[in-house]
Amino acid sequence: MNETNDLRLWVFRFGFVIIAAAIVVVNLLPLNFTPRTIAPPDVLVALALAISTRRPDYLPLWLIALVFFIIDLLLFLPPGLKSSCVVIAAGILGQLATKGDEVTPSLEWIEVAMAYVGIILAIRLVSTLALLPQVPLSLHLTQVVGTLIFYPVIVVFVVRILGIRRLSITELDALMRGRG
Amino acid sequence: MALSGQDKHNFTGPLARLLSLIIILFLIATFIIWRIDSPRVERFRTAVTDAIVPNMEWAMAPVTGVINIARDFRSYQAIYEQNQELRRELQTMKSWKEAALQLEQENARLLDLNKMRLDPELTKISGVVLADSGSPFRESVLVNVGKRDGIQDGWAAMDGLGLVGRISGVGEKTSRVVLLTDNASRIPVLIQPSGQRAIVSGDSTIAPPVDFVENPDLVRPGDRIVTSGEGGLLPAGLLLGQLALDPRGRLRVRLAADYERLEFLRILRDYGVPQVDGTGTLIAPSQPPLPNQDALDE
Repeated sequence: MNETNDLRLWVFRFGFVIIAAAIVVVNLLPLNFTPRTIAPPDVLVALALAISTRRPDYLPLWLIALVFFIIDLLLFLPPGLKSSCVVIAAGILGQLATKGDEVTPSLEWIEVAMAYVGIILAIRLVSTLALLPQVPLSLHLTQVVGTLIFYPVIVVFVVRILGIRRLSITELDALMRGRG
Repeated sequence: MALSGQDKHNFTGPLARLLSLIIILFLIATFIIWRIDSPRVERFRTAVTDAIVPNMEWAMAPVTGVINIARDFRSYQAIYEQNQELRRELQTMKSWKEAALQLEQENARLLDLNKMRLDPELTKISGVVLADSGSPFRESVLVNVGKRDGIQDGWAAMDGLGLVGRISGVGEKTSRVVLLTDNASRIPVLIQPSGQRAIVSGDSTIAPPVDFVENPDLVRPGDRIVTSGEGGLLPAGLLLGQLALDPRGRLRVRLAADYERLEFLRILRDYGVPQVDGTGTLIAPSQPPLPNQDALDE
């Protein structure tokens, strides 16, 4: 049982890396050189948060850190800024998930919305404090709105296609006993 | 189905918490080091980009090709109107061509009189654009020439017509060009014909603003903007574009380079102008090295 679980876990993690790589390749395609006024939804962050709030053990923080740090490097963004914010947000959502409270979809959406707005606010705040050139507000605003509107689609993908569900209370109990 | 109870998957155990904390601290530390000592981290970034992006090309090239074909196809639909428009433009162009030919002949005569030579050090290397910046937050492109082709940081990148950006970050096989539109780009420029100096500072719009114009009364929309070469930053006299006024009355550059499609870039080799440090070097050229004492004794 443990072995098949392990395998499933690693297949899943590998799949996450593949999805991340695909998203980065699509973004890097040399098609758009003019500055844009709206930003696309942040699919990968939404995916990471959607999984973290269900099964944080599937997507360990070190993997999130690794993937988002490399993305910071490749996309010419301040290295470590967004990635640390995403890791912290995913960590907090993961902690909430282990409490085993009943979470309705709308409650989850509010949690994730707060987490994502927190990420963007932290990025803007730190950029200002570190005297970095500030990203135009319109980009961040459209990105927040787009990501949060798009989030339910990500959830459907995670639940229906990847088959990742929340643990029920009994399962969490079993987990706690197993840890003993 | 329970979580595996082993410690290594135990995401709330003390060890895992410690690990998470270390990871977060590592990321924050990287950011702080980058802010304090940027070149070191940027070199690391260049190395990572250099290792990853060229390997993605097999996936990127065909997709880019297909998308560009689709875009071309869409533009074929508008071809009739375009044809009409081109015919009209051709009429005006013909008169311009006449004027240009006369000017060219005159220019050739004058150059001949002057025994003028173009700067032989200002040669160019052409590169193919591999990738754009990948996010709307920065404006940069990766080109497929790097250290092995002799590229150096700070060189100018042009398309056929005008300046596109500066090299910032040179890897072995790739280098990054920060575009003029990036919000970290600052270029010292000269506005002709008035000769006013100014700074073109990118702000994530297609027409970067022109700041610090000494006397704004002397410039008018339509003036040519070229690099001033101040501080040895870029070679002087590279065309950026034309001056324009935006609706709010702010001076901006209408860039000459075609930012819609950057496929090939020319990187200008620029080994800088020798600096004149003291009055002595201004009068006499630097002395050849003296033969050393041992050689004289023999």
